[in-house]
Amino acid sequence: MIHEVYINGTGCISAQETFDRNWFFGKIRNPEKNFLPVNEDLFKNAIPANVSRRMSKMVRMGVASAMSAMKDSGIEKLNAIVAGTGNGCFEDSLKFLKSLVENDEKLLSPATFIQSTHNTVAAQIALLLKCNEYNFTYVHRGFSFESALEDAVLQIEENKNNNILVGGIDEIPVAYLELIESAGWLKKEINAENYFSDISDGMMAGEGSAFFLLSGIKSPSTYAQVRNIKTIYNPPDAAELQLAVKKFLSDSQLSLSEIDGVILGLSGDVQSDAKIKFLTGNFFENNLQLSFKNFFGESPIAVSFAFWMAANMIRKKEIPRALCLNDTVIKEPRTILICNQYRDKNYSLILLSKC
Amino acid sequence: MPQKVFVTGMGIISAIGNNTSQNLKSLLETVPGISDIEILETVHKKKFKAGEIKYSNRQLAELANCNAENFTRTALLGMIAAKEAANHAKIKDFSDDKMGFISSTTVAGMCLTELKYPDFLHSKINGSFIELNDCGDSTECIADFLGIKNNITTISTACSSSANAIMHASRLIRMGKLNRAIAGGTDVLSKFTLNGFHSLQILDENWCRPFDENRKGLNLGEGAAYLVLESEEEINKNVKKVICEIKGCGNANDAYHQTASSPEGTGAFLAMQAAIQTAGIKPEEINYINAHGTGTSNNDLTEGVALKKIFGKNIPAFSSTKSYTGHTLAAAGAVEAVFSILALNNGMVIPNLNFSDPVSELGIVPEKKITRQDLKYVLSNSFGFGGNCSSLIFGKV
Repeated sequence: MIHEVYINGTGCISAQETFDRNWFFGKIRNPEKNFLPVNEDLFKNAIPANVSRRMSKMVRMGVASAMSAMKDSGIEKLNAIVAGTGNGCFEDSLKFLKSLVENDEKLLSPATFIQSTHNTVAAQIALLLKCNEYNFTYVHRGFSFESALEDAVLQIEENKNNNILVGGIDEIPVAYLELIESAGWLKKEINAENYFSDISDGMMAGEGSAFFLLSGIKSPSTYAQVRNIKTIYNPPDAAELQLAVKKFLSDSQLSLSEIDGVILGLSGDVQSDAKIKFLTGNFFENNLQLSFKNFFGESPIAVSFAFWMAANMIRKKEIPRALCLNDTVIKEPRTILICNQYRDKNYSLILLSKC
Repeated sequence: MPQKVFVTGMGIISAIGNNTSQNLKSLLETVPGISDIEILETVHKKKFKAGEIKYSNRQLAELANCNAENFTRTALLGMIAAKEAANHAKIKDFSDDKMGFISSTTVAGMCLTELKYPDFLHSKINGSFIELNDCGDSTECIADFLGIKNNITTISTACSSSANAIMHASRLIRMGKLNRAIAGGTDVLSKFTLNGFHSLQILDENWCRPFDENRKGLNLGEGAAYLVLESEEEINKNVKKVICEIKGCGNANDAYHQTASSPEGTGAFLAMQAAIQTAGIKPEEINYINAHGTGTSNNDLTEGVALKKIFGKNIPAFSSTKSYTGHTLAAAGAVEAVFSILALNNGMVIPNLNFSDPVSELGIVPEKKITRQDLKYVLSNSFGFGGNCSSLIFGKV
């Protein structure tokens, strides 16, 4: 259980219009194919052109959403920057690899190699802000954002005056899509109207970046409170997952009925979703159930979009109908649980509440 | 009350040995492991030397006692080193929910991707090697190999990665979130990094010469190293033998350039300062510094500037052990943590090889031959791309 960690700013770039603070699932963009790319027009003015020209899409998304979260919070001086990314700067990595292959390891330009390291986004944010403080990047698949969040919470528990910028970033360049498509990760066809009714293998890939300003001090811009986080590695079956959720709730001193909504990390892939699906019928059956990957796609840091959603639901006191998977009626969302999975190996629980 | 954090086990595989005792022997005999490239398939085989571990993946799998087919070289090295660390600490219950595994890598599965991708570019089929490409793969392989079930994560901050893994694990224990953790990193030689550093023109074709006026660049290396960290409470409960204490940690960002470090050595200075502050000691109490010392023109100059800022005229004995192992990238912080602890517990200052003339702007001279003296505190530096600077301080118990 965590004491007094507040979300005081958010910035989110995704396949939907999340960069616009007034947008909250009014106009929803449906996928045409099995991936949901970010439209760069939605945030093209957020970074000066002379700066953004030298950046990859990954870095542009990360920097723009980070700056947006800072602006939202009104904080200018950070005590730490903590990022999470599952795949890192994939596009630049593969560009460098391709040129290495095509030129037989001769006369290579270092530009893409320089930008290929996994900590490039956190480093570029520090560089732009001239921030000499603590700077970490977590790169563990479906735990990348969660680990960054856990680190940010530790920093605040050490000193509640700390202002920590924490976020997740992942991109889906063509080179990545080709690989995961050939590996059978993607759905063949998408039923956009009723995404979860199609029980086939494969998911729909997503990309984007969500950053948050966390602090131990409440402010006028506070969205919600982070109450608890837990990662669960490779649970053997649904029963084990259910036990972990029960323990998480009791550690958080909450009963299941006090949860106003549970945001589920269903990806559409029938195999990866099986354990959470089981919980929807056997554990969460009386709770309001919500989905998000049908709007944002699947990625190692997709959970950061659920975190953004939960924070906004609590602040706006609104549950967009489009997110709901069942008819449970809730007056006001005060306590939201995120129950995520990534490729049926990385499970996580995040609890947010009104403060 | 913050918990004190102690090291109770360590494991390493590098170009100078498959385990801790072999690495110690090579250090005591000042035998470097940098040689012509034999295992990595590259057009630069004759051109560059490297700190290469002279085992094929199949031979590494035999050392680890597992099936070579299922693992990248990155995972195999990590499994060997982490297993040694766990055995050393005599860990019995790996599935304990207050035990963690914090690993790190930069190359990750690129060592496999670079072999498979050329065919994929033409055929666009069989891209399933993507499943092993990311940084989390080796961490999960090592965790599964040892049976670690909880609190697993991976850090990648370029060449300071495993120093940061040790720092994060220490913080988790200090704050009572975990009782015990294995922390470190693994990285292997790859065409990707060899060509990357070559494209930046920072590879020396001969043996690297850290802190020398005529240094030409670094030699790449490969390796893995892990420490077992435990809380004071856990040690008292199990009457454990303690190797040393994690006394201080500091991370700062240079915020100057994506790859180059600032002329003032701001990040390096701040990281060392933070480590010394958290250790609660005075700079003059540090007896030996295991420097980052890559042998590049830029790093050694700015690290030297930062050392002078912290220690003034009385810089403690220092050396770069990259002249033995090459630069093992993400693993370097943990490899050098093991060397720092060996120095501490064996009362030896490890010499810096291939040094002849001091850098004219600095006038500082690293240790040139092995000296035996009582050490109380050892500082280890690790700096990486993206301005990431980390310092760890190990204290004798």
